[in-house]
Amino acid sequence: MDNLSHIIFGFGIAFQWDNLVFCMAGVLIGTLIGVLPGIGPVGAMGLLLPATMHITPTGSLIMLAGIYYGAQYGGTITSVLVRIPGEATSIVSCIDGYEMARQGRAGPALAIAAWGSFIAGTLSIVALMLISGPLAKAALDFGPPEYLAAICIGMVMVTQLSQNSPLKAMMMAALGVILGCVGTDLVTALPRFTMGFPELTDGLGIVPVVMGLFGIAEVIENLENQVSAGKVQNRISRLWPSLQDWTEAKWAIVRGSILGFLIGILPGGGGVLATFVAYALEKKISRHPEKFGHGAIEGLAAPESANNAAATGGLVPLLSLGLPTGPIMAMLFAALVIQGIQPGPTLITNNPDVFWGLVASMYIGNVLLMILNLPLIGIWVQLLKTPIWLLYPVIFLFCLIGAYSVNNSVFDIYVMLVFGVIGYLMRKFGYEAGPLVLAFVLGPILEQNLRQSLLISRGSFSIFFSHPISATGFAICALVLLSNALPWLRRRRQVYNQFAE
Amino acid sequence: MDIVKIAMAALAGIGIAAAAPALAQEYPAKPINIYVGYSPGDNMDVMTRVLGQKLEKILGQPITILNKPGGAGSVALSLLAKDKPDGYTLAAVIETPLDRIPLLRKLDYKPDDFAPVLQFASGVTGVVVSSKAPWKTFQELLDYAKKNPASFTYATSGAGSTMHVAMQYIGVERGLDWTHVPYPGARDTLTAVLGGHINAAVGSTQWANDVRQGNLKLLAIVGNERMASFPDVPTTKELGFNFSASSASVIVARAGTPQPIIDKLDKAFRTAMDDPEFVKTVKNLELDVLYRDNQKLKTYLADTMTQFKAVIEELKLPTEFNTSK
Repeated sequence: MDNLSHIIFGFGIAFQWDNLVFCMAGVLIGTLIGVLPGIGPVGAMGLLLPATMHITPTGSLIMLAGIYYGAQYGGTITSVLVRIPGEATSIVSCIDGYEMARQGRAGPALAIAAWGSFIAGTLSIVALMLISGPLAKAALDFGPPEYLAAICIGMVMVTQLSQNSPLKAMMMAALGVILGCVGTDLVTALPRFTMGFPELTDGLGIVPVVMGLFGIAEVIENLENQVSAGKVQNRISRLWPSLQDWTEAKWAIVRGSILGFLIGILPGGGGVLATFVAYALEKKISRHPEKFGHGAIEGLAAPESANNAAATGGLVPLLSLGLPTGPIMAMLFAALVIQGIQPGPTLITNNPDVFWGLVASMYIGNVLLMILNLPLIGIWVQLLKTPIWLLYPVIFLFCLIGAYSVNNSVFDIYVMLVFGVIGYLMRKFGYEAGPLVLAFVLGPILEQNLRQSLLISRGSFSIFFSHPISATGFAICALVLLSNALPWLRRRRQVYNQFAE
Repeated sequence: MDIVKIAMAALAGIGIAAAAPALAQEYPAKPINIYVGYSPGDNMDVMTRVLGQKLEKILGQPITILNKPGGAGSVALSLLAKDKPDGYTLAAVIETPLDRIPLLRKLDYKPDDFAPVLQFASGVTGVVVSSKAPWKTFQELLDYAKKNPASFTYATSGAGSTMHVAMQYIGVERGLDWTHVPYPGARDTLTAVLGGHINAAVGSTQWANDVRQGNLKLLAIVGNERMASFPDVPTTKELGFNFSASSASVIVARAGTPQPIIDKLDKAFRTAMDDPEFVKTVKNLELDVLYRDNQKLKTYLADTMTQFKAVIEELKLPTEFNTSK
C-alpha cells in the first residue's frame, strides 16, 4: 500500500493549480506539434528550456513530459488522414490507418488510436510506478553483445513487415543499412561517404529522410491523379468504432502496450522501433495477415499503443538511473540538471515531489488528451474535405519547414527533396519504405554494437554465444527465421506424404 | 584615372578609419545571432541560452540562439566562416573544433578564419571505474593493465576525442596494451561501466553525481589542476603525464571583425558571466566558470593546437591527411 500513499501524495502535487496549468499547456503544445509534420517535440522543448529555470523543477518536468507524450497522440492524425507521419513514431500508422481513412473509416481509426494511446499510456504509467527500479537495473545488464542480439531480432522482424515481396523488403533493408553508413566512422573517427559535405559528418538526418520518403513522395504521387482529386472525402461513414472494431483491436492494444513499454526502456530503442516491432508482431500472429496493409484495425491500434507506452517506458531509465535513452530524454535530463537536481538512483527518495508529481500528472495528462482529442476527431475528419489543390501545397510547405527546423539546416531540405524523388520511384516500382527506414535507424546501432563487441573480445565471435542474454536473443532470431520456413517445410512434407501414399 | 582611383582609395581609407570607432559605438545596431554547435539541451546550449538572455539586457538588442549541431561543433564553425565579419554572427563551441579537429580532418574552414571573443567556462575530464572494481588508485589500474595485456577496456565518447588521445598517450608512455571502445555519448560510457561491460570510462563530469553516490570511483583527473569539488583526486600531471584534456567553452567571431567590436562583446559577455543565474547554471552542469579575454584565448588555442599536433605525430594517430593518398 506504499505505492498508494505515494500516488495520493503525487496527485496532491499534480492538482496544485500551477502544475495543472503546466500539464495542460504541455499536452496542448504536444498535440499541436504532433499534428504539424516534422516539428518535433525536441525543438519545442529546446525553445522552452531556458524559461523552465523560472518555474519549479516539478512544473518544468510536468510540462516538458506533457509535450512529449502529447506529441504521440497528435502525430497519428496526419498519418491516418493524409498518410504523412506527424512524428517518426507514427510512420507505421500510415500503412493501415490511411487505408482505413480511404475506406471511409477515418473516424473509427482516429478514435481507436486515441483510445489505444490512452489505455497504453495509463497501463504504462502503472508499470512505471511499480517496476521502474528493478526493470531499469535489468537494462544495465545489456552490453554490446546483448544489444546486438536485440537489434538482430528487430532486423529479422523487417522481413515480416513486407506487404508483398519479402525479397524487395530485404533489398530495401540492405539499402537502409547502406544509407546508415554515411557519417563518421565510429572507430577511426574519420568521415566516410560524406562526399565532402560537412553536414553529412553526423550522417543523413532521420527526419528529412523519412519526410522525403513518405511526405514528399505522397505529394508527388498525388500530382499525377489530379483528375480524381478528392478521392478520400467521398465516404465518411461513421465517427466511432463499432463493437467489431473493438473486439479486433483490444488485444492488439494490450500487446502493443506491453511491447512498447519494454522497448521504450532499452537505450536506443524508443518509440520508432516499438511501433515497427508491434506492427510486425500483430501481422505475424494475426489469423488474417492478408488484411494488413488494407485497413486492418490491429495494424493501427498496436503501433499507436506501442508509441505511447514507449514514451512512458523511456522515463524509467531516466528517473530511476539517470540514463537518458534518446534526445528527448536528454532534454528532460537537462531540464532537471539546470535546476540542480541530478537524475539518478536516489532521485525518487531525494525528490519524491518530482517523481510522484510527474507520475500523477501523467494520469491527468492522459485524461486531458482524451478530452482534447475525441471531440476534435469530427473536426479533423473535415480536413479530408479540404480540396487537394490546397491541401498538398500546405503539406509540402510543412514538410519544408519541418525538415529545416530539426537542425536549422537548409542542407536537410535538399536531403528531403532527394529522398522525396527516391520515395516516389520506390512507390512506382512497388518497393516499400518501411523496411528501409527501420534498417536505416537500426543500422548504425547494429554496427556500433557489433564493432564494440568485437573490440572487447579482440575479434572473437564467441562473445555472442558466451553471454546468456545475447545467446538467447540469437536463438530467438533463429526461431523467427525458422518459423518463416515452417509453412514451406509443411508444404514440402504434404507433398512428400502425398508422394508416399 | 589613376589619380582618381588613388584619391578614392584614400578617401575610402579615411572613411574606414573614421567609421571603425563609430561602428563600435553604434554596435550592436541590430539583433545578434549565435550559432550553437550542439543540440538543444546540450551543456553548451543551456549555457549560451542563459548568457544570451543576460546579454540582451546589456547590449539592448535581441540575441537569437540557432542550434547548428554536427561534426562536434565543426558544422556551426563552417557556417560562421561563410558569414560577414561584422560581429552580428557569433558561434559558441567547445575548443575542440578550433584547435584539435582541424589537425585530424579536412574541413572547409581554417582555425585562422575565426577571431576569439572570450572563454566563459571550462570542463574537466576524469577517469572513473565501477565502485566494485578492485583498483583504489590510478596507479593500481595502470599496474593491472600492464599485468593483463589485451584484456583491459576503457570507453570514451568517441574515437579521436581528447579523452581517447589522452589515454593513448598514457598507454604509449607506460607500454600498455589496452583496448579503446568508443561510444556515441558520455552517458553511454558510464552505463557501460556501471553494467560491468567496460573496465573504465574517461570523459567529462557527467560522472560527478554517480561518484558522490558511490556508484563510481573517480581515480584521476586528466589535466593539470585538481577539481575543487573532488580535491583528493590526483591529476595525471602529478602522476607524470604531460597532457591536458581540458575543454574550454568559447565564443568566436569571424576573423576580420573590427577589434573595438570584439572588445565590446568580450566586455558584455564578461558582465553577463557575473549573473548569479549563469553561475548557478554552470555549477549545476558540473562545469567551472572560467574567463579568458580574447587575447589570452588566442594564445591558449594556439598553444593547445601545438601540443596536440606534437602528440598526434608522436602517437602516429590516423588522420584524414595521412590516410588519404
